[in-house]
This record gives sequence, structure tokens and C-alpha cells, in this order.
Amino acid sequence: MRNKIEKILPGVKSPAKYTGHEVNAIQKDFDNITSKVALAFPDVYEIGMSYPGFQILYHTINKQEDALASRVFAPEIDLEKELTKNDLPLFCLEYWKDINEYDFLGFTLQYEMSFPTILYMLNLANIPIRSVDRLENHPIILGGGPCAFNPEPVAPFFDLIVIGEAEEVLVELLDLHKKMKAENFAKDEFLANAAQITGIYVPSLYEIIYNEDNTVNEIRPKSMLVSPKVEKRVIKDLNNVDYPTKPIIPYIDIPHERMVLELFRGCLRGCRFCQAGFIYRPVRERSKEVLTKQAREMYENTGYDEISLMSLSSSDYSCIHDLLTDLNEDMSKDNVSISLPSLRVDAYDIELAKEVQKVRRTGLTLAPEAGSQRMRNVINKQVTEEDLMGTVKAAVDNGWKRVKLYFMIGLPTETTEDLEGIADLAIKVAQLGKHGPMQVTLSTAGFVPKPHTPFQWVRQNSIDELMEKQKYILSLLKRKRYIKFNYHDAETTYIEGVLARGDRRLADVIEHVVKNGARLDSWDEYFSYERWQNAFQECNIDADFYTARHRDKDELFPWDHIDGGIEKNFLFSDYQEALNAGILIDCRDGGCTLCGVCPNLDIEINLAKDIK
Amino acid sequence: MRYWIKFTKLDKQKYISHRDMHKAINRIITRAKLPVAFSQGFNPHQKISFSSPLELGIASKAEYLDLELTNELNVSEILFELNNVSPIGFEFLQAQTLVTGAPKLMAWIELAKYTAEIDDERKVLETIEDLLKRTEIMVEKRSKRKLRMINIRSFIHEIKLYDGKLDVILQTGQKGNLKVSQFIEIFNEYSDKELSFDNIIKEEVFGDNLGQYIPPFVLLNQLDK
Repeated sequence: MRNKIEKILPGVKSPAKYTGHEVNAIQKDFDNITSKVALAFPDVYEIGMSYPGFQILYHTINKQEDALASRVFAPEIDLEKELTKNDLPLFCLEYWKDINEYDFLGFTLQYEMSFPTILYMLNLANIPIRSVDRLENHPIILGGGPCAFNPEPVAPFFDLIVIGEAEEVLVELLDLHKKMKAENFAKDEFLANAAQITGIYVPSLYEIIYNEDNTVNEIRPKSMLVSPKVEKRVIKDLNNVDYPTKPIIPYIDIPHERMVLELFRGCLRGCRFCQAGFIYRPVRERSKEVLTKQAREMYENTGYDEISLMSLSSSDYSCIHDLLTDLNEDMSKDNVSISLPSLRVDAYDIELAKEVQKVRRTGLTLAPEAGSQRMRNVINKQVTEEDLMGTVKAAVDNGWKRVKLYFMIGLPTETTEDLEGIADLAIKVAQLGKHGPMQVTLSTAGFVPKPHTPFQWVRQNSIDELMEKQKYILSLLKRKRYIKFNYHDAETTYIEGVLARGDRRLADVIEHVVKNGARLDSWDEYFSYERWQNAFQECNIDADFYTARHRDKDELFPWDHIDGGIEKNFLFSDYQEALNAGILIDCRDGGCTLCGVCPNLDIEINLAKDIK
Repeated sequence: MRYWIKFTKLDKQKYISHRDMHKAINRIITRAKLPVAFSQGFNPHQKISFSSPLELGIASKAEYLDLELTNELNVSEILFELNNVSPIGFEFLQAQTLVTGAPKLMAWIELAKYTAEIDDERKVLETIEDLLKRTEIMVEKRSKRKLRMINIRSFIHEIKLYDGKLDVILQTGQKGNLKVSQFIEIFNEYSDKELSFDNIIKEEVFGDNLGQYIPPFVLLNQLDK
């Protein structure tokens, strides 16, 4: 296998994507390790290597003495052709071994459109795609990540799925594996035992019973031993878990080539469209001391010249000023620049950005998300037009020259005025330019209602509706050449919507599109709407059932057994509040909103400023 | 203070492109905490330059770089610090301070010597004889959308079989360049057989000094006298 790989690599584009010999990649003695995990990212190398979470998993597993993790990504088409031609299976980077030599193959589920790529990779690895068809000696297929909060469309492909944060539960799983491997376990036995660990979902242990109208009637555990609900795992104190301060440094260019410091997890602003804001609650911050120490270590171990402060809303970090001061003091002598991604729409952030010495002042990206105050209230994005104008004005005064604005279309209760508001805001922002209107890039994405959010009940806009709305906004921007208008493909948005709130019956559809050549569907050039349409037809599935209907208050959802800690009642009343354009204040400022996370998971908000 | 440093690009490092190697070595230098000089300007970068790019897929025992430091360091210290933070495949072998009159590496190096393991010794020997007899070996060369035929016979300086291995010295650098993959293509064309060349390694590079082709460090020693 090694020789064959050696022969084909010089002939493919960027072979350094497949060698696994990057600085800080970990090589262990393969044959003398008990638990071997192939960590798969169902997209190409450049994308996967830009996800800090993927490095956390890699590090967490490799840190275990008797376990190893090796990465595998979707190959580019040129390598795929060579693999087929040379009768080679998909291989893992670090060891260039057949994936069937591993105990686990773990996929990260970051976005719905990557689902077909999972099956594509299983096919290339010569592993049967459905868990029922796999034998004892096939690797155990593992999943996790944000899309695990509704894993049902891919449930039949997985043996077990991790719900929530992986650092602790992965170690428990590996310990169990080590113990049971010594006893020569049967796979069923192992899965039954694993299902006892909090945060582990074994799809085959649950039966889904449907109503005549296709809604779910019951999610029934097949045994008395499995819990009817799978509670997510959450790290109580982030200061107690390791962070990969020795990240792998890719040789080839990737979108995010820099150190990433994870300030905190969770966000309590309560934007109603944002799934991350609900599934990662509550907020848990790392202490300033831990962060500055990690930044220094990372610099020593990488030699990167930029550090990015990551979280769902970095300026909300309770000690952000002190942290920036400390980092500036420590890192500027080494020519390291600090970047704050995702600035919020208020002037406070511009002040922060100014503190960051070498911030790039070319483009400012802001996400007002909706065009009118009413609509921003509906989605609970608590910013006003004055905030936005004030921020842009401050930015222009401080040397920024271009602005990018992000909006969503197809939000619940949307009217023509809300769309006009989007165009109006873009024009008003452009007028703030110092010498005539400045360049504004306006991007709109079609809204996809996600599970575990207050909008999980709402109807998604159809493809036609979204295209109408795109056209309408475009018509309002005629002759405004300083505004560049981009919008997401409505067909992709539709399929994403079907998968996001789908059930197990969609597994047939995903299998069908993959049989017909689907892979890397998150890339416009590979996505084919026609292929999906055919699959729905062949599988006798009405895709509109998943997107084009209002759901009743009491409907049982396919993901209701996945427990993120938030009360369904809370989500529904927040949804009702949304329909009245009412806002809900962040519980750090306005008192507990009774979402249920803290008592249900026996956890507390954990802020850096409160750490003594 | 400027230095020439010889290093290897072996094992899997042969799969990284010249540009990516440049980046990787920038980071090695940063991690090694050497007092590297930076260029002036809005976007300062390390003052470092390389000998001519190595083809992707070919390993090398003789890559060279030119490094400027802000103060003088002992060469053994430089090598130690670099090797201390380098991944497998990159090994810094030798360093020497530059003497006055030293040329630019990239411009000076004209020849590169490669070795390869071969399987069909007799066929290879036949082809070598055939190739060396010729005065003209024409290949297509693409430059800026134009396609023309050029005679590359003079780019092949030496081919021989030594100890069961193929030894070739090819023209490299700015005055003309013959890639190893091109050479293999020509070789296979003339031998009329798909020969296998394994474990191809660039062994050394040479430049001209007073009519003699010598490796870079020999040049520095000669200039020093």
C-alpha cells in the first residue's frame, strides 16, 4: 500500500494534503496501540484543517497513552481517480493504512450538506454504509458535532453518536473500548455498554414509530436499559480540559492559517435563529491566565504570526479588555498580530478593535441579520439601526474602507418592508463613506429553521419564494454600483432545510444521491439539485413535508430524544414571543429566562471575571 | 551577518512544493528564535532566499538557503537551534558565513546531480550510450502560451551507471533547466520502455568558479583564500 501511494502522490495536486507529516502531527507505534481512531472530516483537507474542533479531537485522543488518532479527509477528484485506478482504499494520513485496520472511524458532523460525503468516504474505504450491514471486524462508525443534535437522517449509518462536547466522553469511550477489547467483545455488547455513558447515542437501540401523516408518533428505546432521552455532554469548567497548544501546521495554504485561542463556549444572547446559541449553553469562559499561557505556548510551538480570538461572540468575553492588553504586551514583541473575528454591531467593538495593534483595517464585516427593527426583534438580534450606523461611522473614522453586511431572508413573519429595509440599510451604510459612497458587499442567506431553536416549528421559505426575494432586493439596488449583492443558492438552502429537520427515512435519499455520484455537495460546483429531486422521487419521499409546513405545538420531533438541556416549553414560548416581535434579554443582564439548561444539566454560567 | 546553509528535504518532505517549503522554513526559523533580519516596509518578511526550486516528488540531500541574521552566531549554534525544531526530513547539515564577493545562490548554481535506483540495468546502459551519442535531443517547451522545440542535449552533463544506481548531472537554474521528470520522460522515450526510477535523490549542486564546477561551500572556501 505504501509503495502504491508513493507512486501516485507526485501526480496529484498538492500531495502534502495526504502525507500526514505536518509539524505537530503525531506518529505512534501503530501495531502496539489498543484503540485506533481514524478521524474523518467529510470535506477536503483545507476545510477540515481550518476547524479548531477537529484539532481538539485529534489532540484529546492522541493524548491517551494507549490510543491514537489519524486524520482522513475527502480526497480531491484527482486522487480519487488514482485510488480507483490502482485499486487502493481511502487511507489515513498519518500511517497510510487501510481504514479497516482501525477500531473506530469517527466523522465530524459540521453541516448538513456534508452528509453525502460521509457515505462517499465509507464507499472509498470499502466499509458497508449501513450499520446493520457491517461485520464484527469493520471499524465502529462514530459521529459527533453540531449536526449530531439531529442525527436522524444519518442515524442508520452510525454505530454511535456523541452528543455535545467530546473531551471527556471520548476518553470514557476509549477506556471502555480498551477494557472490552481485552475481553474480546462482540460489537453489540460494546454498543450496549457505550450507550450507558452520558452523551452517547446508539441509534440502533431506538425504534421510530410514525403516524399516518408521517409525523413521529414515538421514539421507543428497544431495551429497558437505554434511556428514552440522550443528554448532551458539557464541560463544566473549560480551564480543566486540555487545549491543543501544539496544533498541526499544514504545509499547504488553508483558509485559516493562524493560532486559534478559544475564549469560551456558549452564547446567551438568544438570537432565535442561531442553533449554536442554544446547543452550546451555558456560557463557560476560560480564565485570562489560562488563555495568555495557551497563547504563548501556541506561539512557541507553531511560529504563526497571527492569533485569532475565537468564540461565538468574542467581545462578550467578560475580561476582554484585560485579555487584549495582556496579549498585546506579550505577543507584539514577536510581531504577532491579534485578530477579532465576527465583530458585533456596536461601537464598543470598534473600540476593542482599535486596541488590537495590528488589526487589518481593510474590510469590516457586520451581521445585522435583518433589515427592520421589527424583524430584528423577531429574531432577538438586539441591535438598532443607530448601533449599526454608529459602528460603521466609527470604523470609517478609524480607517476602514469597505463594509460587508450579512442578512437573512425568508425569516418568519417577513414582509416586503423587511426586505426593503435590507436594501435601505446597505445604501445608508454606503453613504457613510468619506469621499462619496463606499464599497458595501451585501450578502443574504436563505433562513433554514434548525432543531433545538425557537424556530423549529416554523415553515421554511420555498425555493421560489427565496428567489423572488433575491430578485426584489436586486431590483432595489439598481444603479447602486457601489453595492455588491451576493446571495446563497436557494436550492442548496432547501436541501439543507430538508436534512436539518429530517428523520431517519431520509437515509434512503442520502444513499440514493451518493449512488448517483454525490460528494462534496457543500461546494456549488458539485451540488446537483436534480440529483436530489430524483432521489426524493425514487425513494417516495415528499421533501416539502420537512420544510413547507408549520408544525403543531405538540408535534413530536425526530430529534426530541436528543436532550440539549433546554426545555421545549421554553423554546415554544420564546417562539410565541418572537411572533409578537418581543425580545428576550440575555440572562446575564436580565435575570434567568428559565431556559432550563443550568438546572437540567446541573451546571452554572462560568465567567472569567468571577474566577478568583 | 549572512550565512549559506545546506539542508535536506527527505522523506515525506519531498511532497511539499517550493512555496510551501519556504513558509515551513520561515516557521522553523521563528521557532528556533534565531535573530533573523526582516525586510523593511509595510509587510516585513524574513531575509531568506533559496537555491532553485526542487521538483515536487524528488527528495534532496543538498538544498541551500541564504539567511541574514542581525547579529553573528556560531554556525554550530545555528544548526543546533534549527534542527531542534525541525520536522523529520528537514535536516540542517552545514552552515558557513558569507565572504565578500559571494554570488547570489540562485544565479550561481548551474548543475544538479541526482541518483536513482533502477531495475533494468542492461536496458539503462544501452539507453545511456544511445543518449550520449546524440548531439540533438529535442523536447517541447511551453513558455507563456507559446510552444517551441528546444535542444536539451547540452542540459545533460553526465549520465552513468554506478554501483547499480543511475547518476545524472542536469542543467538547473536560470541559464536553463531540465527537470528530472522531463529527463525520465526522454529516457523512457529513447529506451522504448517504461523503466522504473525509484528513490530519486538530489545529491549536490554545483556552480562555476574559474571554469570549474564546484559545490557552494567549496566556492566559499576558495573565495576565502
